[in-house]
Amino acid sequence: MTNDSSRTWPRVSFDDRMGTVEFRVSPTPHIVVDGDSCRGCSTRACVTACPANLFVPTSDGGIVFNYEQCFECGTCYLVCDTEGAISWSYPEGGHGVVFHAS
Amino acid sequence: MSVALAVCWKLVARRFEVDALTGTVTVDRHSLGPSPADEAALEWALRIADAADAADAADRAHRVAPSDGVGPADGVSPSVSPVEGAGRGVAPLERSTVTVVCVGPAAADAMLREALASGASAAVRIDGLPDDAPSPVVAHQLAGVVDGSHLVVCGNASLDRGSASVPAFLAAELGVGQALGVVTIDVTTGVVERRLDGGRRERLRLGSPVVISVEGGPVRLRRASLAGVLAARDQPVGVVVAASAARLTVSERVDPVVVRRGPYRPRPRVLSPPSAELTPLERILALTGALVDRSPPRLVHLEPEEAAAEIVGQLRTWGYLP
Amino acid sequence: MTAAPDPFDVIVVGAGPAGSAAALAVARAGLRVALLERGPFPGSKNMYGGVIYGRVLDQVIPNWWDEIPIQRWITRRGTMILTPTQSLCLDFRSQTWAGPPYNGATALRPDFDAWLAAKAEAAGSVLVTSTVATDVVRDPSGRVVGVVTDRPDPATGASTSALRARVVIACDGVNSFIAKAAGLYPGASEQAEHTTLGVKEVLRLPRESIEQRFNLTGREGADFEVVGCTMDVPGGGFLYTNLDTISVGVVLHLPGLAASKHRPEEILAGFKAHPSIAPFVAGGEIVEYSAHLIPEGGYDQIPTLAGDGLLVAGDAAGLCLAAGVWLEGVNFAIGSGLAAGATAVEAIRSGDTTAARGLAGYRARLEANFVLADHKKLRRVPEFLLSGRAQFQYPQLTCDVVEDLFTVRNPAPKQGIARLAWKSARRSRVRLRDLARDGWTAIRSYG
Ligand SMILES: Cc1cc2nc3c(=O)[nH]c(=O)nc-3n(C[C@H](O)[C@H](O)[C@H](O)COP(=O)(O)OP(=O)(O)OC[C@H]3O[C@@H](n4cnc5c(N)ncnc54)[C@H](O)[C@@H]3O)c2cc1C
Ligand code: SF4
Ligand code: SF4
Repeated sequence: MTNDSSRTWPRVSFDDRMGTVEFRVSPTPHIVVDGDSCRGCSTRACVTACPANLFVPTSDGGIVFNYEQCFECGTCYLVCDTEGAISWSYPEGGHGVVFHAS
Repeated sequence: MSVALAVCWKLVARRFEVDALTGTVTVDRHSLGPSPADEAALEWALRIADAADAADAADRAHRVAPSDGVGPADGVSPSVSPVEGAGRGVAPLERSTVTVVCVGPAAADAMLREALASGASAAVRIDGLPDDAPSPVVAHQLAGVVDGSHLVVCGNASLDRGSASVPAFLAAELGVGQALGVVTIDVTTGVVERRLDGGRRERLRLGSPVVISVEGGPVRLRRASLAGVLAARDQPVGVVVAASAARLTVSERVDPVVVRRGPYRPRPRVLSPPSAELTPLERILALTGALVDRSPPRLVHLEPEEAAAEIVGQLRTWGYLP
Repeated sequence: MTAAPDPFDVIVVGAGPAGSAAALAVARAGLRVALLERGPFPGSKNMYGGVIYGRVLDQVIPNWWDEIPIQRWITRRGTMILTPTQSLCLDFRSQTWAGPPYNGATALRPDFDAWLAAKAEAAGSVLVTSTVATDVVRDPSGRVVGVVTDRPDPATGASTSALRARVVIACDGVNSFIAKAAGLYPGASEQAEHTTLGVKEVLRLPRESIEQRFNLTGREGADFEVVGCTMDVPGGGFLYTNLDTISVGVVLHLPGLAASKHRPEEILAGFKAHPSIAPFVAGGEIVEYSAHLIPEGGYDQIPTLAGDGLLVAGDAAGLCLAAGVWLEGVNFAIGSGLAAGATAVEAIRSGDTTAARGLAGYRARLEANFVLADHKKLRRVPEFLLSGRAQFQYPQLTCDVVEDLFTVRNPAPKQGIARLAWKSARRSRVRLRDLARDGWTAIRSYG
């Protein structure tokens, strides 16, 4: 447990945080999430684990996924237990995330 | 007929940071390359070249008689790729050429090799001009190299300076027609569509020679093949030193012909925020225009033909139709 | 019989440290090597904590320290244990690390990886960027004879094309689809158990502030590894100084993260807010946020390292050493890449590229040098470090003992350390049996 009031740096919104990263977005998605497979999923592991916060649960039990701001890390397919829910590959060469300061 | 195309590319930083306090621009060196519009220019040129060569080949298949090899009248050169014309006694087809030209530093060579890998036939870099050379000077240097091309394709504006003026100066320098801000090109007919002010569009039939500039969105530069990438590593990039006045062959100027000009499309009206002094109610009234005098709605009962005429007339009055 | 001869003897997939080292070794031996990288430039896809240990380069790039693009040379190294309200730091400094041959240095991967790849290119490797190797190509006997790339083939109009060579070296990092495609990862399904996610922020601060806060001068740098700072998820934290930025991040065990209610950036924010960390990072403006996986399985999870016509090196082979006070992967990647390159050369020269004979020397090379020797020595550590005791109980226990030791309770007399430890152990519910066993593991591993 940490004391939130002791923060001494400017708070950044998640959008601002992601805004620091360059993404050369490919026109075709490299990750496809089959929302139907997600309906039976109780863990929702991807929702907490994806560092880019790209998995958004919908009110009807599905998942909305956007591939554009993806770190291509692989966390989602490793934590997901449901066969076939995530088809994962790398974006077309030269596209996707580009790190500069890491 | 095979065509000679030229494409003008500028080396720009596609990612940079502007210091909010000092205005200093820091360029990300990993992002140097052509603007999206320049990439689109090469893609269009390659498509036009492909279409011209395909038409040539079809024409040849149609015309070549089995008796003896009578090639097309113009430009038969045995030195070019013999793929299509491999039939016995038939002179090989001359392929269209796409030359990419860049006014820029040696750092631009990597970018020009990407152009070669994607299918450009040659690359020329004009060295020795300062980074901030004004558009007429850049256009003058480009003209020296692209002179003689049937078609010159530029990106409509570079990412860094973006004044969109080089293509226009280039056309003036060459004394040829121009079509700027082209959105799409019909590669078989040479009819292009471009944007005009006020949301209108215009369709033009191009003559030749001509300079066009294209927008970055509609097409994406094709992906280079592995063989293309490997071959481009060893392909030379021609370097010419920026010269003073080069002599240009001034051909007769053929301006594009307007085929069609679309209707004026009014943009949504911009509402300025009402003064903060007003009460909330007054601000809402100001924004919605409620309780303001206006011409009242008119209710008419007409026959279908008359009703249509009435609607068209009204649309004209409002400026939705020309 | 194939028509045209292959343009390359060796294909290396991935221009990270492992791939560039492998290509360097092959090119130096005079063979033709292609180095494929899916990013637009080497380093563009790669993120890590921040410290490179360069001595592995001594043999291949003499005086590497004169040209390696570094941020700061590490002269101060801290190992910290945190509980929500306490912290204990072993803070070490050595000025011998401030001059050649140095020890570690902070560096940014887009700089470092590009530098090493340029070395491989200068030696004659052909670097092809923006190209993904999507699969291996096999001959009828099952031997790997090349890779499929995502570049189109104009001859057939297909959207992919193949590139062939005698040996493929997979240096494609932690997700290694090449090694998986070649079937070298039998345990791919339990991969999450042995993988952590690293998230980090690079924060900009004036150079002088960094030097004041971390007590540094000139190009000196500091490096802190931290345990007990990741809320309910097993893992750790790190804090490194670059020239005018600092890197602060957390490393999170995937199963724990999947089960947690806390998102990675929340855990990182908590780490930054800890009273012992906050003063270091205060006011830093975020320059880049990033995320990447780390293979943490250690020796027991290392896959088969060679197949017919195929070698695997670096993170692709799980060779990253993540063992608490050590987080080293770049040097292990370079070490294994060099060995893979040398093995490929030998195999091609001998005309035998089978796993059983021509490429068999690879594992032997790694066992003989630090790469597998270190992993073997530390094989029990990864599991121990991610256990609940190491993560949650021991940090509390240790901090409590030290707190008791230093709390003055006059007029009550001071208590002996043994007694304090015994009391704290009971309070944090550590069983003596576990303590003894873990102590023994630690002595065997680190001793
Ligand atoms: C948060 C974190 C902190 C770390 N801290 C440190 C540290 O302080 N010190 C240290 O020494 N190590 C550290 N490491 C570990 C270190 O980063 C890795 O061990 C090291 O980068 C491994 O090198 P590699 O060459 O094997 O793989 P990578 O560096 O991952 O390189 C793989 C390359 O292959 C490319 N690639 C992948 N797939 C394909 C494909 N199919 N086709 C073409 N190209 C492909 C990638 O783009 C990439 O360039 C850290 C790691 C993380 C995540
Ligand atoms: S992607 Fe996997 S973990 Fe995420 S909701 Fe769907 S099934 Fe569950
Ligand atoms: S690869 Fe990583 S960043 Fe991309 S969606 Fe999966 S978890 Fe999120």
